[in-house]
Amino acid sequence: MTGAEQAWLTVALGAVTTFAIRGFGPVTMGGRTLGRRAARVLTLLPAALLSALVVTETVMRDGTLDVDARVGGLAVAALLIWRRASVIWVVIGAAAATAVLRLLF
Amino acid sequence: MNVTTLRTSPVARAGARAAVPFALAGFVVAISFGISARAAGMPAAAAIVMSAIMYAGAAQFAAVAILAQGGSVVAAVLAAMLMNGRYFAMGLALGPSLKGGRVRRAIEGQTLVDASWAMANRGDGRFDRHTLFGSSAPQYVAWLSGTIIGVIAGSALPNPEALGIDAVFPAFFLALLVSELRTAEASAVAVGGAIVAVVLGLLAPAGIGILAAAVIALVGLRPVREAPTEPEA
Repeated sequence: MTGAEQAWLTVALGAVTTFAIRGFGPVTMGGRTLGRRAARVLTLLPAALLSALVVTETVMRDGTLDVDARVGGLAVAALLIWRRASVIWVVIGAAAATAVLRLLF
Repeated sequence: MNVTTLRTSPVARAGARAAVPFALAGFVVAISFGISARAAGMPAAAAIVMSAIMYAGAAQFAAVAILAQGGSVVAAVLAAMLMNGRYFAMGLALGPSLKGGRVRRAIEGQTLVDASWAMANRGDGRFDRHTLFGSSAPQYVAWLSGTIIGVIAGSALPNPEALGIDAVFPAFFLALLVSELRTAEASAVAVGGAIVAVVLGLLAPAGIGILAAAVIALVGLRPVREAPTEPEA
């Protein structure tokens, strides 16, 4: 399968599953609620996944450790988040810091 | 959902106005999504169609990140599904507040995104449909138009990494992550997820580390003492 075919297949399957996940509660009329434990697992999932993505996308590349300018960019992002900046500035600040570090070193 | 009703509904219009700050942030993030998707080798049309029919930023980023790392389609779709798992719980809460038959309710449920769900939540277990639709509309327009601009910019830029575009993904995720760290348990899960992802990222095929990190969330299954006075949300 080519990269383009993989991308289209991911889009198709991603769209179908997203539609089903969003539609399930409304179609079953809601009313029912998840068990407390199941609800806790669902609330904890984003923390586990987002953290995994932040770290691998910051210090890894192609399956190996690769510490580069992105680390500086993420430090700036963390500072901006701590200063309660809007997500717009967090994203722009991280990109700008990474770009400047690449220009300098 | 009737477009005319929506247009004339003051509640929907108020919801749309309240969602403008979220739509602006989403617009910038969508631009970075479009650029990153192109940098990951995704066809321009696929990235645009993805935003148009998935309309789920974190899930889209996760899927594209795994494809970019050389992961399989199955791993990418599974990561997107897990990331969307919160919509399952949010949809159950939303269900009783929607109207109509099954098809219409399923379609109304597609307007569910994090910010619109939060704004429509009246705090008494009910949700305001018009606020949900009204606040979702500008966010959808921003997400789709931002993706289109990002895809065009990504195709025109010779070297997006010189602009630090590869730092946008993790910075956006970090902002989302911090908003999830409301409890000590969530923070511990985040640390565990990061360790699992890096270790398996070095040892296992691409994408497996991210999926394995999700398993850490199963600590939520352990029994806890319930707070006796806490009312049912």
